[in-house]
Amino acid sequence: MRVLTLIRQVLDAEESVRIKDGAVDLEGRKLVMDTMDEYGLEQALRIREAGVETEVVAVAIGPARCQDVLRNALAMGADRAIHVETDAKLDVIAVSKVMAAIATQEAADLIFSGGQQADWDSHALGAATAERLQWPQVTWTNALEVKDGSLTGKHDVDEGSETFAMPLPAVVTTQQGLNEPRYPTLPNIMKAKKKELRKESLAQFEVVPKTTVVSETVQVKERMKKMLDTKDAAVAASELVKLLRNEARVIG
Amino acid sequence: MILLVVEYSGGKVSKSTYELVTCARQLGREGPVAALVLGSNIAPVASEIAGAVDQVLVADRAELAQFDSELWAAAVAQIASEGEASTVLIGGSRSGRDYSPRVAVKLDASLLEDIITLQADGEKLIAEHYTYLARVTEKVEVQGVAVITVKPGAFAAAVRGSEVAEQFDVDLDLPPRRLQVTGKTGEKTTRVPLSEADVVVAGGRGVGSAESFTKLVEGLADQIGAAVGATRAIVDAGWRPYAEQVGQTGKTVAPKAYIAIGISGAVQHLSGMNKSKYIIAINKDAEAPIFKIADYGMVGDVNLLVPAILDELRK
Amino acid sequence: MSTAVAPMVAKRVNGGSFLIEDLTAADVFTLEDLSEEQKQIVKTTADFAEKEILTHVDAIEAKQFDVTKALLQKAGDLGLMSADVPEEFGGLEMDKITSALISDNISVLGSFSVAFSAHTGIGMLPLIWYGTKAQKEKYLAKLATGEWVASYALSESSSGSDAMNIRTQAVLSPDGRHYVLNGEKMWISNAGMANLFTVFAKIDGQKFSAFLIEAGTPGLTVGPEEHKLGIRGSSTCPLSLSDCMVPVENLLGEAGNGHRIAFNILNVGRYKLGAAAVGGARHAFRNGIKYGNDRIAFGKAVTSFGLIQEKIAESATLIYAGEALVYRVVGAIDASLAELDKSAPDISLQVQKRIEEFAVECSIIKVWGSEMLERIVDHVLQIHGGYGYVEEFPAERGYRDARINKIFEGTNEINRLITTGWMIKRALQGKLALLPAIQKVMDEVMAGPSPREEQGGALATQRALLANAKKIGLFCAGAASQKFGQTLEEQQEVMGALADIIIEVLALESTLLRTEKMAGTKPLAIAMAKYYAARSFRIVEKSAELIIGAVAEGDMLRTQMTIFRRLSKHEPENTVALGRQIAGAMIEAGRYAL
Repeated sequence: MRVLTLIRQVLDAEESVRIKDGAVDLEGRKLVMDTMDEYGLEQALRIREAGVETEVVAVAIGPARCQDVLRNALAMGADRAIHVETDAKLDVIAVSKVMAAIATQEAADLIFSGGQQADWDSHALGAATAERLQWPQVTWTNALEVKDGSLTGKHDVDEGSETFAMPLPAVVTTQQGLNEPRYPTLPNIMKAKKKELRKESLAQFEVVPKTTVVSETVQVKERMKKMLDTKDAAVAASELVKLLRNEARVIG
Repeated sequence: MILLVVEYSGGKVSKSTYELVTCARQLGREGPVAALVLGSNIAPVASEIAGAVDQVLVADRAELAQFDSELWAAAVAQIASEGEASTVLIGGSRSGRDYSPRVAVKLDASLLEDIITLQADGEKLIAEHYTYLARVTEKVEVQGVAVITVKPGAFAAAVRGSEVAEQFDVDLDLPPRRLQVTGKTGEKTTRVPLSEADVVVAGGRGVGSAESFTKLVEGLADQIGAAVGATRAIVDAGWRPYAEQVGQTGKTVAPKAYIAIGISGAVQHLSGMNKSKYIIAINKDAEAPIFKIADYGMVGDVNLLVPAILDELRK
Repeated sequence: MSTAVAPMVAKRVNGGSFLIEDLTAADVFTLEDLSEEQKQIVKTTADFAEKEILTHVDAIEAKQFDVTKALLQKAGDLGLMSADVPEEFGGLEMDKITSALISDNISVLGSFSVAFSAHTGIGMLPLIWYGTKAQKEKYLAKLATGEWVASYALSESSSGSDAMNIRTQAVLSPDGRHYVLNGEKMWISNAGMANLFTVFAKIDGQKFSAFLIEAGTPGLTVGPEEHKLGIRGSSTCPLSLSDCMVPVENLLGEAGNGHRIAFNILNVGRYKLGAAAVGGARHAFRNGIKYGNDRIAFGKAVTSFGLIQEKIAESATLIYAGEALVYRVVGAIDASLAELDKSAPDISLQVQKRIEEFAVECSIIKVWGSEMLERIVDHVLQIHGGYGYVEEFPAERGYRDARINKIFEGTNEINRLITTGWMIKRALQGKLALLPAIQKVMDEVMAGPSPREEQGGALATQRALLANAKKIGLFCAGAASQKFGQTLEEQQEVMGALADIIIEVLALESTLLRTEKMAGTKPLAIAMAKYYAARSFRIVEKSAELIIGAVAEGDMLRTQMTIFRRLSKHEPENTVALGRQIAGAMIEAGRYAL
């Protein structure tokens, strides 16, 4: 079978956020493959290693620099990569159109996409892509197995978690706990050099983003930073309780 | 029409639904506010929400007894399109975030996720939401029909009035269910759900052990009727269930007060709680980043300070 | 000769030529030239360091060697220990830049770095270079995967820097099947967890030779762990050999050839130490900035104070210069090795000869790198204030751990003497045109002031400083050899001061070339190049004054000082403003970032 894994390039979580001209400035910052996408790629590789004959194709949609994370994906073990190169700021619904079109072109059976990502906390891309393909989806997935052409696993829901079974083809969005992604080994990094990284233009997909980003701002809420003297625990406790009662008004 | 989808639990309308009502009333788009109730044996839910909206649309069907992304999406899209809804409001719960993108695709509408403000400006809708681990506020605008998920806690809950809206039964064309649920594990808690709590008491590695967590964090939470939260580190360590995890890969909360006990404040954790109104930090390490965003801070041994607070509360 | 992970960038130059020749930016390799694959390798290494090493610090420091061994094995699985291993024996046989990148990026904890480099460097290299096919087949794969740990045993209680004076003896057994070794070894890295030792002994008290001895061989005893100032998580023990029977097939290389093994690997050890120092400095720096940004004093983050920013600026600049220096030299080594025919039967020997060409550069990297690291860990500790002095923060450990770098792989004193001595030797052998260059400078300065050559570009002033630093070096070398002649080598203080000038010339030139390579696209790089030039030239001036003071007096002294002043004349840069600019960028980034 053929598995597509969406790979996104995001600001490393440890990096501070900088705003320039009303937008988050990524120039010169440490950009990495989103951890959630790593889970998806790792899971695809595990499916292949578990003996299901699988081709793993990494897909990125974004500016030229995204090829760095596609190379990471190839070095981790993806068989080939597709890069739809664009500087356009696309919303999730627009990107899902591209993903769905690629899935159809590639006759994919399974798509992984990350959830709760470092820049935008969302499982929406997976769901929107599934809808376009008329496939089922499972979100917040933290365990997954492929058996006899169908998926079984576990995912989180509103109140707790569920185990599930689902036919293929399908879309899966990932969640912490799904697996522990591998590091690319040096031999695999060298092998990746020879793997295909195909560039596609966005134009053929005819996407029109519906959402416009007006501005991005970093808001820092002013905190009181009132440090209580803790030499005497009882006195400190009494002071805190007073503050919670009279200032914050959260306890009766 | 502004269509909102009712979330409920145990036969009662969830707080998040009343927040949707507030959002719908203040956003400034025309038309009645209609509430759609999907499920099986949901008459009490429909009657309850009738006190807060202009219309109630009810699809009470056995096959809707359990949530399914495809079923919910089909139902909401059908009703929205039949009612020519300009705006579809859905709670920002896991299930809401799960099916709302499908609704947007079906309606060829835009999707706005996890918004904290929403305002109409002529044909436009302007909304804000958090990005980059809740460090950035992004303002976005869309035209025309929009499917919107609303962040729990972002709007005040609407109060039911004296007028009771009319209820209509609706017919639905539902697709077959493809995702089969084979088992369920509940988030067993007798406390308020994390996302609805006014106060959250959370613990991290600095608490010391799973036993101390029970004593200190749960002890304090129960004393003041708060929800319990935990950091990823201790969830990974198996001290606490994932359901309690706050942060990037857990839940995002914005209570009136967040009491962080033995939490150092990694950026991934802060992203899940830094919008809390008051942050109270108790930690032995004066240099912990949590103190940088705290309103009240106590530096010291949590094993001394938290029991002292409990004693004070019991007085 | 090796798998080029990147196309060759650097020009093929001769070792030591930097003092008399000028290169352009296009002639040198810099970190800006990394290939996609090298960037990936950096990432894998850095991720491993961050997620595996830094999460096991307490266990490593507590000498839980099973943890360290497991980590070595994990590193082996990733291929991090195979970069220098031939493909024939399952290795990756990569260029030296890539192998230096690994040493650099894995260095976040002194103890682990030492275990890693003792294993992959002095532990494995003798086998790679001198082992027979059978020896390599038997041991190399086990070492490259980390299944086995290697250790190198040369030093003894009475022979450290003077390695040839070892007392350990080897005698052929009567049946001719074993060498019987007797003796004591000291300061043996990895000894407490090693499976294979490369032990040096003199056969019949004469022939200096190396032997491969497996742990557990009767007669080989590993002594108790030393209690060290730093790198406490690394293993350092004495070894005792008492009638230890080593099979004759475990003689490494030829009998009496041990000095080659012992000395040739030192050059590799030295440039890798430099790379590791850069990595260690980068990591320490990040801790310092992070603490300084969080720590509030007088209502402000301590990083907002000028005297703290000065430390930050100097540290960042030193890291920048260190990267420039290390990768320029290793790039030049790669360019030289690229000419070799990989299939030649004596390829190992040719490789060593080519690397030996760069002995002076390797010594410079070692000295400069270890002292750079020492300076930065001191700054980082100071930024922490009182918290820097307690074990709670890594600053304290980093400070202790750095110290060993000035001692092992040849003390910095030995390496300074090598630096100047090697240059002189090459000059006398006619392999380096140092004497004509000295003559030219002497003639030029005696002829009186000459009009300044005007150069363009953002770094024109710094280029001029570099040119003058070279002239000052040659002038001082000329003056010193005139005064001391053949006995110059006995004047260690003067040799050391000359070395300092030579070291700064290479470091400054590398820094300027790297910056020029970026062609003005990075204002921060230009600021650091200027900052480094100012710092570097102060060292040159101080060293020159020491030399001139020691070689001349009276009228001669006055004449020489006039010449020196002419050569050192320059207007100071505003290093306060530059320092704030550099520190500001680092503070914002929260780490060393270009």
